[in-house]
Amino acid sequence: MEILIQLVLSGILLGGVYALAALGLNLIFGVAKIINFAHGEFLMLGMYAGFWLMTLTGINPYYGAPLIAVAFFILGALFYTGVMRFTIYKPELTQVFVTLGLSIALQNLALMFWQADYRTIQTMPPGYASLMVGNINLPTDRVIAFGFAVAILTAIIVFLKTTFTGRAIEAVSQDLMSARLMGISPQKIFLLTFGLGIAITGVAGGVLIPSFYAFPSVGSFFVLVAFVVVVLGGLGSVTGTIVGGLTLGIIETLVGYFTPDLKEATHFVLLILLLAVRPHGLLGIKGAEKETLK
Amino acid sequence: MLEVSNLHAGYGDAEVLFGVDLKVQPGEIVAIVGSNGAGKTTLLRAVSGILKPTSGSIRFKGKEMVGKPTHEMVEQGLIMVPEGRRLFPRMSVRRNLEIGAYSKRARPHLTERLEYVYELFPILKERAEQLGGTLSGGQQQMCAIARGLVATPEVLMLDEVSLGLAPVMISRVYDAIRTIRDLGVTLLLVEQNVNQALSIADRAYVIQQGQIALSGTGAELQGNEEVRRIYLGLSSTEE
Repeated sequence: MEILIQLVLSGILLGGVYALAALGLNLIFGVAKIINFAHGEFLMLGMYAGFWLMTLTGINPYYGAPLIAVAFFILGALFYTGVMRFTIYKPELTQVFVTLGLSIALQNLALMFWQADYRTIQTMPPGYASLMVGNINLPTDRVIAFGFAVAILTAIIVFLKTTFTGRAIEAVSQDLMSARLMGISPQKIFLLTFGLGIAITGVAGGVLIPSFYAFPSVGSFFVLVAFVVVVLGGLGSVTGTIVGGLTLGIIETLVGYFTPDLKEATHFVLLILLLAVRPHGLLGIKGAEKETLK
Repeated sequence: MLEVSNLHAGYGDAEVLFGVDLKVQPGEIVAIVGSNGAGKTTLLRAVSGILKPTSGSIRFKGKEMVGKPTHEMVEQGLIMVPEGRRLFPRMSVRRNLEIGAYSKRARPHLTERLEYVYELFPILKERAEQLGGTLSGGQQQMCAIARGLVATPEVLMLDEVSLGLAPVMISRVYDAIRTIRDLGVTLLLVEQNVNQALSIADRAYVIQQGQIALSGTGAELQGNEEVRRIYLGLSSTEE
């Protein structure tokens, strides 16, 4: 029984982290209907940002998270104005090629500048690496990353529901033309969405580096996780992202304990099952998988 | 108030409007009627900035607005209610109305405007928490008009308000349009429902193949046998 509680709690912690890692992807898809294949690379850059912040300046990425957020917001805004702005009303294939190309370029730039070494940092002093609750053992870094996930997801939901700007983002995601007729500038909303989405992804990378190794192609692992989370929970739905992340985290941890060989396979078995039974995801909007800007 | 001259617009290589001229005076109800595919919706889209005109002039309150993005038109008080209602389907009625006040122009008036539209369409107050996508067609149309009113228009452009509505709903929507005029809002209607539109309009334009073919007062055009037969596809025996 105890082992089951331990596994589920670990799964929830992992799931929260997965949700945070996928949120930016889903936000950008929900609003601009663009699938960002370079999402994993932005996460990779976030991990390196956390790594270099700690090794060069000694600032722990947990304290440095606001800094990473600001830097990655600017990066996301540049990503939009410099690249994605030109693809926004273009066919899906154009968007796929542009983001896929960017993904390959970023991976190789990282390889060139930072080599293929696996890197990580230690943020906790010795003896504080894990929290014991009764007989349950939780890695401190995971708990902190989970805390970030809860805080950021909550903040995004509150922002989207209660502010005029947040509602304008929702409006654009539901009907672009109507949103324009209400005086909403789509350019402004797209810019903001890309900034926010990439900022969240950067912070996710920054708080993940203490518990995962960073290397130039780490993004391709996380982008697959993010796709599974988003499809599982539902395209374009923030609460869906939470549900998708937790579901994947818990199932993966359970399967990983009982049959370690199948751990990674769970992602794809889940994905295939879901696509067969419920293609719009657990909480997704029916038809969202076919949605384009209108 | 609104003066369109020699307006050309289209989609890609397909030109739809070939030099449209029209004028709307403050306080008027002006109708644009014509058959399917004549360019009515394209005209409103071009005026509202949703579709960029290829050439011509759109003067609003004396200012040249052609080529300006839609959100600048909205800030000036030129508001369009699109064909097919196009509510935000997964937002409640209240949220749909509130987003109408997104512009700087409208935001300070949100509370009073909400009260006003709830009074104009009491059903919306009853359904305030229901999702926009779950309303009936007529209720959606009311909500779309109300959302346009929350945006505090000086000129409100309504595209095919009666399309797909039951007759009783059509007359309710038209009653509301009369009330809106009394509020001091100028109205520009685009309609396939020619009789309804002409009976409410002070003036009207008949658009045919992307050009204004005829204009006059609503009553004049309604009585004009030739208009009925040739331009509007109605025969005198049809009623």
